[in-house]
Amino acid sequence: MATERIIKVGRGETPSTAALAHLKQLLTSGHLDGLMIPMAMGGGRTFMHVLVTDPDALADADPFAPVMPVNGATSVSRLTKLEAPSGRIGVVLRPCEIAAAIELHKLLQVRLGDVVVIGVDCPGTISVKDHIDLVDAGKDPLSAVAEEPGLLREACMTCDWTRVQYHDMLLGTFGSDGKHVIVVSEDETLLGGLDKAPKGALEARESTIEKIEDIREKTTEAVEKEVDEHLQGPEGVAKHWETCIVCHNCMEQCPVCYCNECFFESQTFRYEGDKMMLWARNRGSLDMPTDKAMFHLGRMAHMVATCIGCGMCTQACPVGINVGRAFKYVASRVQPVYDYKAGRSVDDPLPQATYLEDELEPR
Amino acid sequence: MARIGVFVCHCGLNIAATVDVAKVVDRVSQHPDVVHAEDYIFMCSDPGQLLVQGRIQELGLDGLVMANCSPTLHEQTFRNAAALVGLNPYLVEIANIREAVSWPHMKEPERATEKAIEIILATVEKVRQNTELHTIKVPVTHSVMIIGGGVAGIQAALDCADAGLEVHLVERTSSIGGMMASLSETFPTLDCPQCILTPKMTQAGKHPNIRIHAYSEIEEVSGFVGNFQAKVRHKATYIDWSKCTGCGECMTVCPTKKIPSEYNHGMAKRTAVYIPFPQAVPNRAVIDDKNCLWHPKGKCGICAKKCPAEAIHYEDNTEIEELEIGAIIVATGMEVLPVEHFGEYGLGKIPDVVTGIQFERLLAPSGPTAGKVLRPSDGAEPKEIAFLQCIGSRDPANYKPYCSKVCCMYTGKQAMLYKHAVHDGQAFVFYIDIRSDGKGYEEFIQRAMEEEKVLYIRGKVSKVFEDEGKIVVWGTDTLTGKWIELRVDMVVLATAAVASSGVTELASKLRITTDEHGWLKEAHLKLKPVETLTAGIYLAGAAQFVKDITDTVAQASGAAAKAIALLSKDHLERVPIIACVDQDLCVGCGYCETFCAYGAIAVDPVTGKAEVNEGLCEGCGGCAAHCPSGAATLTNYGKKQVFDMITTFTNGQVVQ
Amino acid sequence: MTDKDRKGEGKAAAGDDFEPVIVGFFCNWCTASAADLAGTSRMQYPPNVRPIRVMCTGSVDTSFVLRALLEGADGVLVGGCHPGDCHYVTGNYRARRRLTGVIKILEALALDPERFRFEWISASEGAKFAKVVTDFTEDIKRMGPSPLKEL
Repeated sequence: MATERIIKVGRGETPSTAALAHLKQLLTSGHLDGLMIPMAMGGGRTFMHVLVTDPDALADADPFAPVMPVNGATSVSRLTKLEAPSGRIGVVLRPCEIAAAIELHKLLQVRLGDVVVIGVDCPGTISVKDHIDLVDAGKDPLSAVAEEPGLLREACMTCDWTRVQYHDMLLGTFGSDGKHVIVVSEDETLLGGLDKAPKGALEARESTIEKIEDIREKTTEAVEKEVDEHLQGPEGVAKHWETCIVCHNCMEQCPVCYCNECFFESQTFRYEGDKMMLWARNRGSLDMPTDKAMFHLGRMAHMVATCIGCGMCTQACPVGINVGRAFKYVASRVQPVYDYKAGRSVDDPLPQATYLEDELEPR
Repeated sequence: MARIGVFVCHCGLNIAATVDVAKVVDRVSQHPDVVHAEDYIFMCSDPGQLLVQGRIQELGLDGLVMANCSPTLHEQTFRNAAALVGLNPYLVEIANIREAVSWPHMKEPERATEKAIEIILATVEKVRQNTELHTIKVPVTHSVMIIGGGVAGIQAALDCADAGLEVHLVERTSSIGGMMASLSETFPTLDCPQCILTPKMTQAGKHPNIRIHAYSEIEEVSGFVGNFQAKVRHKATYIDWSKCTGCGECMTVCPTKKIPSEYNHGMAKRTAVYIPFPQAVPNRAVIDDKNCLWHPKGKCGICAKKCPAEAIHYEDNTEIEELEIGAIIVATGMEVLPVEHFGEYGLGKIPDVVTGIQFERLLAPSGPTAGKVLRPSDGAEPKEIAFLQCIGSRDPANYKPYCSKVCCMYTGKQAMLYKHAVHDGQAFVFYIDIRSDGKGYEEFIQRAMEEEKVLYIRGKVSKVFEDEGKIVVWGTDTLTGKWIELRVDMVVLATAAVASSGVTELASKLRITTDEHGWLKEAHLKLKPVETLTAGIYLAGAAQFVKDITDTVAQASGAAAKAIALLSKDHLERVPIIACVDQDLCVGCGYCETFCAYGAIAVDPVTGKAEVNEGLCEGCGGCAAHCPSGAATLTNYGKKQVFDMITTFTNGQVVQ
Repeated sequence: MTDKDRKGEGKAAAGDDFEPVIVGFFCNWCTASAADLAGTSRMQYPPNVRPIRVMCTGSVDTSFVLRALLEGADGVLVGGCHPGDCHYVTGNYRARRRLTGVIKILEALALDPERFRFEWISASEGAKFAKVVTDFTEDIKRMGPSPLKEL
């Protein structure tokens, strides 16, 4: 049975510092042996996950960091794939990071049961570049977002994961007006010393979640409409990826692109010079490098059924292509075909790992 | 750079009449990896093979593309020929330019030639990346499972058992014997099945190497040639066969007596507990639970009380037995089209209109009338009988387009036997053509016509109906053009033969195929008539197509010989085209493992990488397509190989 | 000079003389046999389909289909065993799942999904093979040269 507790945000505290104090306590008391948590880098210009064992090293950590340079599931994979660390390691993850970790768990790249997943409510993140620009301009990123919600990444504004879908411990901030953090867990050792949640706190969180879901759905509809208008047909697709430099960064930063070496980067996709000449002759000219469309569509065929829509691909693109927009749009049309929603549950079998005898008859 | 030779076969005119072979040779020679190309009239002939072998040696070829017929025909021929002169057989590939090019594009020679060139060049792209492979040896199970206990199954079982193989003969009814056991006498020798089949049945029943699984069906078959696993369902008999002596006492007391007898094809009745016929092997009773009063109501129970062996227990004794099998022979036989068809001939409406197989029972000394020909409606001796041939056969518009092959002969035989039984009777036979193409067959038909005075009328019957106690047959004599009306006492219809019921489901379990009419498909109609496309599974008898007893027995021995040859060694050589995994690329996601139906590839928990079990891999290549990393590949079907074939088709040929 | 230039198919324009390039992936155990049967029966069908024999449709990689379409094929045809009849037990079911994904991607982005066709053709269905090839060739002719090769 899950128990709900509360962390009060005291005078001079923020939800971040209040929640951090509790996490620090868990580390100090030995209920956790390690904590993977976003940590301010470069004086707060950005945040990266750091694996902390010394409670005193947590000073610059922030469980609710407003920026996500790397999807944390990638780091959980690094931590657990070969062999999960012994002891209890808490990993602070946003819902989209949990979603990716769920997919990676099914792909044997993450051992989800071997870490303590600390899920956090996430109102959205700013792109790394915007975050750095704001900080460098002397502005507070959180206030800037409060003033201009459009600063959030598109993936966040259209996020499907408002409700933390899987956790060992939840740190909930929605509906609290910054006055408290709700903590939910089935594990009493993670709740030590916390007060019972007051009446109404959970209901307030729930109603906030519903409101946010509503807004995000509307934004999703608006984005999809744009895709319907612009990202359709060979011309639309070509235009979308027009400026692509085939650097494969989108793939490198995709949490569910988990291969050691991308198939589309391999020698298998290289052409002998004569064959390229032939192709060039037949077409009149040949874009170099040659495999742009093959890379994006091929990667889509490989992972769009497990795409969780975190938008890391867009953030990683050096030439500003909204890769995630296309992938999320296609994912939302491919996954339902398999009655699947990537990132929803560890119990849903991967679409390509199973089949039904009576389904999907060809036209 | 590879040194590939391309050999283009004319196949007489089969290829050369459509494909410009000279142009093909000229064009494929321009591929940088093709060091030699030439054409020849019959590449598969001895001189053709010698020519290829000579070129391999003199030019040091390290790959061959044989442009000829389908690989199902001569892939092995050329691989063997290459191996004899030291070229690894897996460096030889077929470019099919006959079935896939010259035959389907006869009216478009220019485009056919282009297509042939592209197919050859694509195959060159594949071959230049092939690697040398060596066959894998796997141990075999020295046992054969034969499905169907008719004369085909019995013959195959005896042959295999005599060769020392362990035989499992699976029959879905409670006795072996099949259709032949129901016949009266057999053409052209007029032997009765009791004289020629029963001894074989007994022999099979007593053979130390044969186990008969009567009243049993195939539940599931897995595994592959040399090592199949079969699950056989022994259906519920409700009787302990280890106690049953086959005395038949139960049948005398069973109150449910009016069930149409399958053995007698409905010409007699049987009881709910029954032994199908006196010579049954095994001679054991079964309870037909659809008709027995004990099922489901729990009433009656008389047979159990009267059984002197106390064998009847009414308990569902269904049992699934798992068998290890090296080869399988399918001998499921045939049936005739059921009586609900052919209302236009009165079948099912007029009691004295019967099918040929039903008439067999009226002629048989073992039949319900003890061999006296008595018509079903009133037991009177019919003085005039009309036999109608080709009912449902050679009738593409309504039923089956094919000739059912045995009807001409058995109709002649039945007319003859009828005359033997009713000396003053008259037999009329309506026929389209008489097909009597076996040894002694034509003489037999002549005997029916000349000695027994059977009246043959060439023509088709348009209508059969009852009128004042007679059956009226309307037809036309197509030789004289005269309209004919016959008033007879009985009509016998030679209805079309069809594959046995349930054979499609069985084929699916065995992973073999049926043709459009439900007959089991052979690997090649002429050259591999007993093989199927699935290695280790053979066909015997009428399951493949209608056959008379002579041909059935011959094919059964043929199938047995194939199985015996297959299992004559301790090891089988398996094609080494199997999956392999690049350990550096493998990320251990386990997609391959979820794909494989044989458990042949799995992620090793220690290394975190996928590994292939060579003994289990069947080489389908599914894991390779499932692997996102490109770590899993199917040997000699690499993705780069396929990509380069695609490129040849989409962008044409590289020219020097 | 290239092969395609000789045929005038290199940069084919729509019109009566447009002869599409179609790449076929045919299962060794069924559709390839059906193709043999169609040939043996002298059924005539257009020569546009270039066949690649695969051991099972389960071995058809999504990238085979995409590569063909992006490289210049006007259509891709995959032929496999009917559901339940796979020589390797379940390969066709898996292929159906995997390749349906490709169709859905093409559909979502309006990239001419009709240029990719997946059919069940058993070894005995020579006539079906000829018909599928004929129909598909005609459909692709009507659609004209594929714009996907320009991507």
